[in-house]
Amino acid sequence: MSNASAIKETVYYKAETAQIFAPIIALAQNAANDLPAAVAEKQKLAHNLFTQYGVPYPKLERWKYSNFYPVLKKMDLAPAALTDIWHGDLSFVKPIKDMISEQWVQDLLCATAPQSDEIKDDNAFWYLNDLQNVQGWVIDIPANTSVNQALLLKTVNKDNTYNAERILIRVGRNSRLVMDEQHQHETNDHAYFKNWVTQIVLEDNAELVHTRNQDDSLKAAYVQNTAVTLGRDARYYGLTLNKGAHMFRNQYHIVFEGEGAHASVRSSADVGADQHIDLTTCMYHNVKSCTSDQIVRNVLHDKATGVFQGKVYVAKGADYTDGSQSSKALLLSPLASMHAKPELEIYADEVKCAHGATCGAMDEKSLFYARSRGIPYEDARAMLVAAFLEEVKDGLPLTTGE
Amino acid sequence: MISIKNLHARIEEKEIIKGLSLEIEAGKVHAIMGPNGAGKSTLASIIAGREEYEVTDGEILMNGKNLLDLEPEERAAEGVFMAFQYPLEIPGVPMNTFMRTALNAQRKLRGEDELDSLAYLKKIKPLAKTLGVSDDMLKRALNEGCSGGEKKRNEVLQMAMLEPTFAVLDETDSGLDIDALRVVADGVNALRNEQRSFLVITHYQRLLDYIKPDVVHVLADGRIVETGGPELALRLEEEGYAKFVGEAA
Repeated sequence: MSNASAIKETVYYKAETAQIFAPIIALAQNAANDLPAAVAEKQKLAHNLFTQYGVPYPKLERWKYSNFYPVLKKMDLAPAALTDIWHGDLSFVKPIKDMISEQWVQDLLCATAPQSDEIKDDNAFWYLNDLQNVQGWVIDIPANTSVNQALLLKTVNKDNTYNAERILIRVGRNSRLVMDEQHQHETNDHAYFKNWVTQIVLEDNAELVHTRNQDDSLKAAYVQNTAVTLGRDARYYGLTLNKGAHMFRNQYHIVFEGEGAHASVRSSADVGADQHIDLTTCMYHNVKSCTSDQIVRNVLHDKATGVFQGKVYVAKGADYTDGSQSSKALLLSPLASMHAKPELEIYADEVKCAHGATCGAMDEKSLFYARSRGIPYEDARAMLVAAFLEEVKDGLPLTTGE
Repeated sequence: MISIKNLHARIEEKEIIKGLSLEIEAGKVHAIMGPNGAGKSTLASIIAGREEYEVTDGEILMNGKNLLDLEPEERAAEGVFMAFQYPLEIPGVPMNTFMRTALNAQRKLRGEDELDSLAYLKKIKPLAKTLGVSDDMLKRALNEGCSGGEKKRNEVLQMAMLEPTFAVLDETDSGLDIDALRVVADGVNALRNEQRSFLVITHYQRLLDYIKPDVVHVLADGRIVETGGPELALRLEEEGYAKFVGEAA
């Protein structure tokens, strides 16, 4: 493509973005008042960046497989208040507005979007979320606290709504938290757009088990940015089980800041129709002796599409890094498709990084084996699919209070 | 009684079974021996219902039904069991889950009540113990990380649990050392009774020292070319299959 037509295309997408989000941007700007100066400043900057870059378009490397324009254009979006319901020990959960005077909260709200040093265009959804970055929750677990009961978040969105939500989680030194998000829907006719940013700070030796049951409406679009920083010996276990959504971009930015830390990102999908489930990750191994694993298992029916873009970055000097990625897809229809793209960027010498990706049909031999024992075809198939999806849970500390 | 009549089968364009007939009375153990490529494993697969073989002629009658008209799971419920030459590994499905699902699926197809987990465990524990299948193996994913011997013991355990009326053992001796062979053979022998028929497919006579057949057949080039008593197996061990390979060609 020539430079001139590239510019023309960018202009086109910017215009599209403005059209889709004009009412949302206008309202968000009016709502901003009596905020700390730094946060107000950040919102202004985000507004400029969002209008400058627009919603990411497929010409951008990391958005090649996931184009949100056609989906968002069909919606008539109006901003919505939060609909979240929390269960568990609510003394740990507070609205961001009530915590805004705390420095660490402001620091997170004003943090630079993770990839902004590289390609600013990639982060437009983060900027868009920044416009309403005080709408959401702070979860603050003090040091040396093991929260026995899981914190459970249930969220349901209405038709034609835009839902920006920010969640800030800090788990103190030697503390442990289990958080479970249930993303539900009322009916599959409801078209809505969720644009969430979750920022997680794990202090030394902290552990967070973070599960997400994604059962959004089949007409919903959902972009989730989850940014995690890990202190020394901290552990993050992120598991997403996908069932719903028309289009879901699940994006992780994980930064190791202390040695001996571990992060797992796991995702399974059992989806059909024209569903599109995208997991895009960046693991930044900036320090020595950290481990990470990424396991993706997608079962794709009908015209469903799966995307896995998994990046492992190992900085110079980050020796003894062990990072693995495994993506497997079961394609149960000739029209289903899977795009798997592992990326390794390694500048250290002593590193173990494994990656593997497979794509295939159901294993007929295993199916026959089960049937020869008397298990009917449909049951045998369901059993094998369930077992395949279960692999994402391997080795995760999913039970509480251990 | 199982009655195979004039069976013809092919895979793609290649005819492998070329007019095979065989009758196995209730309670009898028949052995099929033969050179490589004679069609031994193909016959086992066809009995169990594997779909890549096309049966062009003939029938396999059991309890008055033609097995060829039934799905693999229906054959299992009728009492057919095949011990695989290469048992599959099923990641993520524990042996216990697999076995109980299979047992109850068969019971359901036969219109019987399902076994609850207590009744199931009561049934499998003593059998597993006899066959040297540990509790740990029962809880682990089916055959995953198991040695060849463990997989074959698992097959015999499944057979003991499912109590078939017609068991086909496809090269069950392959990959077994002598100790493992003895355990597997003892397991099979314990299941012999007046109602249950066996078809033991093997390349080597060795297995038949442990599982004593009533009748021995030689399969060569898709047909039964000779039938005799246990002494036939011994003769084959001495003479080899050269004679039959020559005859068939």
